[in-house]
Amino acid sequence: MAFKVTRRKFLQTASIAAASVPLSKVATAKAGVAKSPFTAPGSFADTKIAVGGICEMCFWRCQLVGKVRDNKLVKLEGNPKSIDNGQAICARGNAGIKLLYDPDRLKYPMKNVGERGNPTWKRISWKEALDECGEKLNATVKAHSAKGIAMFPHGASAKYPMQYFEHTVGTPNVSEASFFQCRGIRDYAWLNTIGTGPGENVDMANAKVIFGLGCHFGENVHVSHTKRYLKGLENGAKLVIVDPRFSAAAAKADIWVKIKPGTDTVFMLGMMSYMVANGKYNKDFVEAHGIGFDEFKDAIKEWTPEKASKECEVPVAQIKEVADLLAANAPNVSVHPGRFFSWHGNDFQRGRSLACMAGILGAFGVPGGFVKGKGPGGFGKVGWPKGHEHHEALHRQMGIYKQSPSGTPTDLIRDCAIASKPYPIKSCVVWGQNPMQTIPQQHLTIKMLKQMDFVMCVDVMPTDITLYADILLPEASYLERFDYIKKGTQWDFSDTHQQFVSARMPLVKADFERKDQVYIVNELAKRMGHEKAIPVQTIEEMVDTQLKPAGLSIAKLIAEDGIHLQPGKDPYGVNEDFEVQFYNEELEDQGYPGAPTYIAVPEVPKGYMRLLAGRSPLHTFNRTQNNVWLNAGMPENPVWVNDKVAGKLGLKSGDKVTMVNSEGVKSSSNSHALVTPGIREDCVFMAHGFGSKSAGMTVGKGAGMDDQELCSIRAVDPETGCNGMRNNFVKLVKA
Amino acid sequence: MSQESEQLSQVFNFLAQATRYPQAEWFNADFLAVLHSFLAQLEVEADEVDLPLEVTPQFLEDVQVDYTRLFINGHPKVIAPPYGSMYIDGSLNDTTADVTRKFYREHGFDTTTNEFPDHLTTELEFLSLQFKEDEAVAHEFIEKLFLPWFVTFRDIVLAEAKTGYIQVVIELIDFFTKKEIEFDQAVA
Ligand code: SF4
Repeated sequence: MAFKVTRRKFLQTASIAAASVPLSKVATAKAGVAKSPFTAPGSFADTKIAVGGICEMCFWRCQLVGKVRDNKLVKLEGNPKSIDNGQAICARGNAGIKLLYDPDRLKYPMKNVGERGNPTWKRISWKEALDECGEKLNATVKAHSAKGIAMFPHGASAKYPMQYFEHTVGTPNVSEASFFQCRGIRDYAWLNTIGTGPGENVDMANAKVIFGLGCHFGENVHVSHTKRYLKGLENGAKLVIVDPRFSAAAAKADIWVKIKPGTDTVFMLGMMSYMVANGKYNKDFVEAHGIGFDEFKDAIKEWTPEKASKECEVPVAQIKEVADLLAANAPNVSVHPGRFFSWHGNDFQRGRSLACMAGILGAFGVPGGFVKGKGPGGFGKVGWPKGHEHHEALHRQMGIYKQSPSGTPTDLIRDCAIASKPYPIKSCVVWGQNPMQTIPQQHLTIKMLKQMDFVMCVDVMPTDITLYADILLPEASYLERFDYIKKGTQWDFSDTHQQFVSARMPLVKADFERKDQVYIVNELAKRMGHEKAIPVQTIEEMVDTQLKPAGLSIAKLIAEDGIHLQPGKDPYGVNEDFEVQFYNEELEDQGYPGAPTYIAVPEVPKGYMRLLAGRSPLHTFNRTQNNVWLNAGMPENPVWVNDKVAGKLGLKSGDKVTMVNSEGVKSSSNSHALVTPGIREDCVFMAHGFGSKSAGMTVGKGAGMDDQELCSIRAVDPETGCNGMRNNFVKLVKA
Repeated sequence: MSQESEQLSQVFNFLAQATRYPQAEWFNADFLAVLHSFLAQLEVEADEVDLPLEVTPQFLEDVQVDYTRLFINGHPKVIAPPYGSMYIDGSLNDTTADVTRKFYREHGFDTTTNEFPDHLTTELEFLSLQFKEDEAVAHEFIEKLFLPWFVTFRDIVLAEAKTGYIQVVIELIDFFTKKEIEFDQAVA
C-alpha cells in the first residue's frame, strides 16, 4: 500500500480538518488510558504482600504469599505463617508467575468456527458463549435426557461445576482423571481394608523404616510431604524402595529392590507369608484389630519367598531381608500407600496388600505409622441440590466394577458415546482436565469427541483437548480467584500440635475476561432452568459460607495474614473399634478375592520393553509444560534405558530417540536417551505429560514424548474400572 | 495546541479504535466509510487496499477470526500478541510493560482498564492523549518505547494477516509512527 502524500503535508492540509470530525466520531470505546496524578517512579517500597494464596501448580496446595507491584505479581513465596509448607515452595510453585502471564493463556471466550480438532477461533462475548452453551446443553438434555451429557473435570475449580452436572442436571457420566487414571484404586483398596482412604498420611518424619513401593520421593515433590520424608531420613529411618528403576529415592535407599514390573503384589505376598509363617508380625495388634486374619493367612501361604521370588525376580534373601527389617521395626514403619496407582490393571490388589502389610506390622496410629492428623472441623458445605433426573451409572447398570470410585469409569463413558449404546452421549463438558493426555487410547477419545453434538471446555491454557471444543471458556487461574479451603495440622507430629485453616484468595485480579467457576456455572444454570437451585451467588460467598460455622471469614483470614492457627490435638492412637480387614467378605460376595491376590500381567513381547512413566520434580505432568521457567529447567523427558540394551541398539546418552509400540503406534515427537545401569533391561522409563500436540502451547508443543500416545492397549482394574497404563510395550528407535 | 497536534491526537485515537476487537456496535458502515475517506486523504489508491465498502456479517466474522488468530489465541498458535513485552522481553507483562507504565505515570497518565500498559491499543491511546499535551513527549514515547517492538510486530502481522482490514490498519500505524527521516525516505 503506497501513501502518495507525506505525513507533514497530510497534517498541514486544511482538508484534514474536515476529516478529523468523523475520525473522532467513530472512535467510541471507553478509554484505556486517562490522566492521573503524577506518581513517583516505582520502587520496591511500593511492593505489597498479598496473603491467602494457595498454590495449584500441583495438587498439594501449599500456602503462598505474593509480592505485588502495580497489580502485577512479581514473586511467590511460602507464607511464613504456614505450619505446612512453611516458607518453602518448590520450583513449580515459584514458576506460577509464568503461568499467570503466559502469553498462550486463554484470554476471552471463543467459538470454534472451524472444525473440531482443527479449530478456527473467534472471540465472542461471555453472553454469546454462555447462551450457546446453555442452548446446546439444553438440546442434548431434551433429546437424550441428562445422561446425554458427559463431563471430565479436574482440580479445585471443577468441584462446583461437577456437582452441578452430577446432582442438579443429573448426569452420572462424570469421570475424574484423579480417580480413574490415578489414585482412585488406592483409595478404594484402603477403604476396603481400614475403612478410609489413606491420602499420603504416613508419619515418615517419625518412622524407623520408610517403605516405598514405586514411590518417587524427590522426583515427585510435595513440600510438606517431602519434608516428612527428609526428616525421617535425617532422624535415621531406614529406607526401602521397590522400583525397577534406580530412582532418586532408590539412590538414597538402604535397600533397593529391583522388582520386575507388574509383580509388586507377589513381592508383598512373599514378604507377608514369610512374616506370618515365622510369627514375625504384630500379634497383639492383629488380635485386637484384625478381621479375617486366618482366611488371609490361608490365602497367602502359597506365596513362599521362594515362589514369589520366581515371579517377581527379587532374590529370596532380599525378600526376607526387607521383611525382617520391617518386622524388627514394627510398628514404627511408614508403609507408604503411594498415589499414582493406575499401573497394570491389577492394582486394587496391590493397594490391599500394602494396607494389609501395615496391618500385620500394626503400623496404625503410632509414631512413624499410618496417622491421620486431627485437623480443624466444623466447616459449612456448599452444594448443588439433587434435580429431578436421576440415572444409574453405567457400571451399576452393567453390574461391574463394584469398587468404582465415585463417578463412572472413563472407558465406559467413552465406549457408550462411540457406540451410542446403551444410550447416546452427545454433549461433553471438559473442565480443567486434558483427557487427551490423561486417558489411554487417544484415538477413541477423539472418536468420542467427534460424534458429540456439542463440546465445551473451560481451562486456563489451550491444551490438546481444547482443540476439540466448540466453545472454549477462559478460567481465572488459582492465583486470581477464591476457592479452596486448605486445612490441616503441622507437618511433623512430634512438634507442638497445631491446626491451621486457610482459604484460597486471589493474589492479583484476573486479567482479560477470565472468570471463576461460580460465575460460569451459575450463568449456565440460569440458562438451563436451574436458577432456583443456585447455592451461592459469588465465589466469595461460597468461601464465606464454608468458613462461617468455624467462626471464620475471608476478612478474618486476611486480618490473620491468610492463615488461622489454633491449638491442635494429639493424632496418635487408634480407636478400639478400628479394624483391618485382612480378608474382606464383602469383596468376596462381590466376586472379588477376599484376601490380596496376585493377578499376572501380560509378559513383555520379545524385542520390546515395558513402558513406565512417572514424575519429575520440575513438572506436574502436562499442566506445567508450557511454563517457560520449567521448560528451561527440564525441556524434555529423557528415556531411561538400560546400558546393555542401549549397547545393543547402538544408543548413547543424549541420542535423539522416538518410540513405536507393539501395536504399531509411533510417537509423534521425540526425546533423548538416558543410558544407565539403573533400570531393568525389560523396561524403559520417562516422565509423564510431555510432548503436547497443541501448537497453541508454543513452549510445550513437541517438547519431549507423550507416553499416553503409546498407551493403546487397554488394561482395566476389575474391581474399580480404573485404567492401568503400564501394560504397553515399546521399541526405541533413533530419531 | 497546534492544529497538527490536534490532528495527530485524533488520528491516534482513531487508530486505537481500529485496533480493538471488531464488534458490530462500532465496526459498521460509518466506521468503514471514515476509514475509506481517511485513506483517500492519504491518496491511497482504492484498488491498492483489500477493503470492502460494506460490513457484511461474513466480513465482520472474517476480521474477528483473523484478529483472534493473530492477537488473542490462535490455532495452531497465536501469531503476534500485540504487547511490547513479547518482542522485547519474550514474555507477557514483563519489564517493558513496567517501563511503559512508568512512562505514562511520569507524564501524568495511567491505565484505567485491566489491559496491560504495553498493549498496542493502550499505547496508541496514550499517544492520542499525549499529542494534545506535549508533542515532544509523544515523539519520545514513539521512539523509545513504541517503535522498538512495533517494527517486528508490524512485519509479522503484514506477513500473516489474512484480511485486508488488519493490513491497512497496521500500515496506517506504521505511516504515522515512522521516524521522520525514514518517513521522508519512504514517501520520497
Ligand atoms: S509442592 Fe510445589 S507445586 Fe505443589 S503445591 Fe507446593 S509449591 Fe505448589
